[in-house]
Amino acid sequence: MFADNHKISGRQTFRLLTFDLLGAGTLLLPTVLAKTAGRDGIFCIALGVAAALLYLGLLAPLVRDMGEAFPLYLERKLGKACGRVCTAGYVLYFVLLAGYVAYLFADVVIKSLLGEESFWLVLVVLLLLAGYGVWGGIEGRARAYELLFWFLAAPLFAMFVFATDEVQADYWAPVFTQGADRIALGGYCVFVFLGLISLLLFLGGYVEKRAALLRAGKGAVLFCGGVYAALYLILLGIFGAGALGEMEFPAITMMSTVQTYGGFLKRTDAFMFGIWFFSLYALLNGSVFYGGYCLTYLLGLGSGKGARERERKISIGVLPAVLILALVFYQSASALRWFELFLWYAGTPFLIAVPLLLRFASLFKGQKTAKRTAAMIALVLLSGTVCGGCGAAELEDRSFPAELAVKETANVSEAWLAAEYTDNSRPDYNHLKVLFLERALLENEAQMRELLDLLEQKSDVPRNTYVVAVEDAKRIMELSETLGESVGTYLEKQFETVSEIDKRMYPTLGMFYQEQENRQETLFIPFAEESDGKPKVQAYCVWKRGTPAGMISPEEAKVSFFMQNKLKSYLLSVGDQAIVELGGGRSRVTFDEKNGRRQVSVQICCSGNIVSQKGETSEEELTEALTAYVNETAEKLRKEQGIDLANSYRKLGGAERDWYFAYRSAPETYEASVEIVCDLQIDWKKF
Amino acid sequence: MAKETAVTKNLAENIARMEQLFADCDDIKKKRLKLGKDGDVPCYLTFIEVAVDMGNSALLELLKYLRSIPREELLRALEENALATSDATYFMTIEEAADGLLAGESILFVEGFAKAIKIPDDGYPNMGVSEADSEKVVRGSNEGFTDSVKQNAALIRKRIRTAQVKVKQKKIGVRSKTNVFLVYMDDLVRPGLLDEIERRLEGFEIDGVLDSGVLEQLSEEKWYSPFPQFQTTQRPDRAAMSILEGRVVLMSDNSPEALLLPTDYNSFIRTSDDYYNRWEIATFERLIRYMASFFAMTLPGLYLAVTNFHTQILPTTLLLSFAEARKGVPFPAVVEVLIMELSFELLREAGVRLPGAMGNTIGIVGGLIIGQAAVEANLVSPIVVIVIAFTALCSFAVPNEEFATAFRLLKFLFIGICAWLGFFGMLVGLMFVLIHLSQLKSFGIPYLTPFVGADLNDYEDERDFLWRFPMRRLRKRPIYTKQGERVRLRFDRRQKGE
Repeated sequence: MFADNHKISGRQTFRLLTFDLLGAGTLLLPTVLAKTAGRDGIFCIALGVAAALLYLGLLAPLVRDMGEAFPLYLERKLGKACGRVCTAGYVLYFVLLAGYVAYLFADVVIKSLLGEESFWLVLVVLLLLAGYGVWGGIEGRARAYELLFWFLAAPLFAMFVFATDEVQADYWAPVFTQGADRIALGGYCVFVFLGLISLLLFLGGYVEKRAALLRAGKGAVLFCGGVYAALYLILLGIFGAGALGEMEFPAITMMSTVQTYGGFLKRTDAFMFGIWFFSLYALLNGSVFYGGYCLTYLLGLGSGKGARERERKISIGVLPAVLILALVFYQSASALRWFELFLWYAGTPFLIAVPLLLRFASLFKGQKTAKRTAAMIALVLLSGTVCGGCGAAELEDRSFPAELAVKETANVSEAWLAAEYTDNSRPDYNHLKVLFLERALLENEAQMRELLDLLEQKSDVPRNTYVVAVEDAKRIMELSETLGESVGTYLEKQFETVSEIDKRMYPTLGMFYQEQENRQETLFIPFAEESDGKPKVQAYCVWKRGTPAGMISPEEAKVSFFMQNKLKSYLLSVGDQAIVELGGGRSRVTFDEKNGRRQVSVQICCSGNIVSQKGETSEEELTEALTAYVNETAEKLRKEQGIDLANSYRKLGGAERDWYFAYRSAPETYEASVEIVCDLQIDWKKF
Repeated sequence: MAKETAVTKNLAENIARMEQLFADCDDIKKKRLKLGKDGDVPCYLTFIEVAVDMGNSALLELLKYLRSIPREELLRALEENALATSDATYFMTIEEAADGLLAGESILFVEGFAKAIKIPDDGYPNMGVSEADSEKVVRGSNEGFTDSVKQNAALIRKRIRTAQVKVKQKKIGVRSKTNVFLVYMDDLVRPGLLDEIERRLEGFEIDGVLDSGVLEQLSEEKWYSPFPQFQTTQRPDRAAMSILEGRVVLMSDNSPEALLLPTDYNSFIRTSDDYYNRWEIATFERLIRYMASFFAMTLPGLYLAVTNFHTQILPTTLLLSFAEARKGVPFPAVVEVLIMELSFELLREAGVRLPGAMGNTIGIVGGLIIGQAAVEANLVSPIVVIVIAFTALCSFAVPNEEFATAFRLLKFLFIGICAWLGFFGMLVGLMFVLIHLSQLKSFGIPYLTPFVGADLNDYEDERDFLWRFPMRRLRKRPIYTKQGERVRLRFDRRQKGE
């Protein structure tokens, strides 16, 4: 019967390998690459993929030549002793890898889904599941992942599409700033993840057609390389290189900020975590399986009657070692560091060395079980109760604040934590919409950093919470009583649906976190005060590259939004002559030097509509007057407060490399040394 | 094997042996007759009272004929098998004759003739062909299988009139000697499949088989799995369709449920009228059923995971209304869900066991009155009632009862694990079920076919799984069929219409 022949198809191999390569790579690689090569990470991915394809070329003749299981092939080609040493090396590699993946898996689960659960419990559950998967043999694994492929790939791609809306292409540039050594290093990082394609050697015995096996390997490398690249560009475009390099699991963080169309699901990170759950599980399961497989042959039990059964039992026997390793990695940061060094200097070179060696050699020539299972399940359940079980509070025992206010105090973190215990319900910040910060706090850099660090640690505080500055936090919070709804909900609606300003211009907590590292944006934080019993934006506090830079009026802020093309429609009066409405525009920023002075030119093309007019002012005159108004406002703020209304600093990397390098070491001099000139081209509508 | 007694020419000996075998069996009629023109041939006719219709033409014709000829001619006619009926069978031993009698036929012993004669009859009474209780369809035949395996075989033959349809009879049950039929298409069935089925059926010895469910449980490979590895049907058209796909239908006497094998997840989701309706609506309904099978298992768990652990998923207004609805409910959400689920199962069980009209009443009393009272008494929140009702709807939308039961059971696993570990628990549960399903197979066919291994049949089976391609595109039989016999639809080029 073909369901029992211990063979898997080419498609199953491709999907199995894809999951093995995807999980850890998508989770860890963006941070590693951002740290190593910053914006040049994309070239590292290309380099890593090319290296993996070359590596596949090295494996191909071996896969074709192999007529037996890989450990036996090693012995045939390299001699018994050398072959066994290599097999032992693979055992070590896979068991260590399994331990690390188990640690990483449990860590991600706790940080992303179960903040209060015990690491030990999560780990045991995962390993039991891995054991069950391994018991099913390779056919079971292959079938499971063949089925899962599109169920996971489709939502992942959908999220990529949703995420593109948040991407700022300016963050991708400048490129080639890191030097060849950093790019090569990054390329090697990518290869460390893609090097797992060496699993092909072990799959030789399970796939009927060798050509299909090699095709599957090539397909998996290209597919995963494509996903790495797309994900890296998206993450870089959302968070910027600086912030990305400091994040732990940026892909999961991205899922928490990206909003799906339709808005039924407020945040999808819990659902999307499934992608990493299944792919990390694949890698964990695979590592345990191949570790057990190699160990079986190392012990000389891989052939003869009952070999499969022994293989399964030995694979299960590997699990306690994996458990211990994962706990060691969890307890000891130095052990983790040692593993990274092993992977870097020994594990991956070993994966390359063995096929090289082989090529070189070729050139020259029942009941008890049931009780035990029951006991293990009971142990897990027991440990669950010991660990406090589902530490979750019931729905009605929690409060869901829609807004919070923070004022300046000596110790912000302490004050925050103390406030959490004043009520008899547990605060659940998942639905926090607006965070009010008193202006004094906003202008205190040290306290802001402390607050942001605290909030970043709290996984339930949404990154897309709007930040609003206020003078008196208490007063603004009291407005909920007169509004008939929470002031946070009211402001969220204002920002997202009522306001003519693009909602992406309202700073969120996520933007603040990022600016702590990136330091390249000028943020305009709405300053709200009470007006007729409602909160109203009366001014904007400016945060320039992570530091406070004073306040500006709403009209001045609108000029900035207009210059950045973030106003849906712009209604303004031109002196006493007319009231006009501008909209549907696009803007382009260029950098020039004129008369020895650096000039930032903002060219805005938009449509115009004269709402009302006194006298006979021509359209050309109106255009001139509007251009003058925008330029005067921009120039005044640049000179007086050092604020760049065009927010042009972030575009330097992509548009003007020389300036970028010039200002990188002294960004504070940027606004003082450039001139900002706006050129308006208005297409007046005729009525 | 027990020693068998040969039928002798001495009628008294035969009668003594039969009377010994059937002592204290008052339901078995034993008549001593005198046949032959001169009434000089002693005979012994025995039959089960209700199983034999004395007005049966074959029996009457035979007796009339035997009464009309003299003794010598009678014995010669018996020797030469020249009786007036075409379907008389001879038994050489008393035990064979006894089996024939118990199968519902009349047995005749004649003085001076060393064989027993079986005179065919309708056999045991049965309910006759009626509408299938389960697997209702909007379009298609309403005929259902009956308790008689012979009638059931005839219902299949009525639909596939070819000599390639073979019926293999087996007797299973040391004491019940239940007739079991294996019906298959000789040129379509995969080599080895029949041998495997027979091997499994012969792999156990049991005193009695009173329903096909007994055979199903005894010949399953993974007996501990909640998922059935045989598909059941009460519909002859479904069985005929399976035979045309190269599958084998296993029918047991006294059971209106035929077993179809091999089977897979997709087969349980398909219904007969998927093929009678247009492909668009068939596809749509199939997708709904797939979703229903998923939510029948996971919805209550998902509710617990979202409300207890991952509130960020829901829009704020919805979440607040959930929280508001739960105010005043004295139990934790998981207990609330369990109370409702168990109540629902109780109602379902009560409804099934009670006679039809009363069963409906139970539904109304339980669903409307108790449900509403429980909400008003703050025992449960309205949202949980909605979740449980939706879950129940989902489980009813799964077309096969045995298959739906697997999801109903697993639902409790998901409730427990999600209440404990939230969405992580949900993922662990899903992975567990997926691994289990990927390890499961039915007579060599992976249970997840064609989601997996579709390449084995050139991806043809993927035309009929989550979606159903237009009928004119379903040109090949599924993977169950013998290789080389998979084409089932050809078009004359002129009528192709493409």
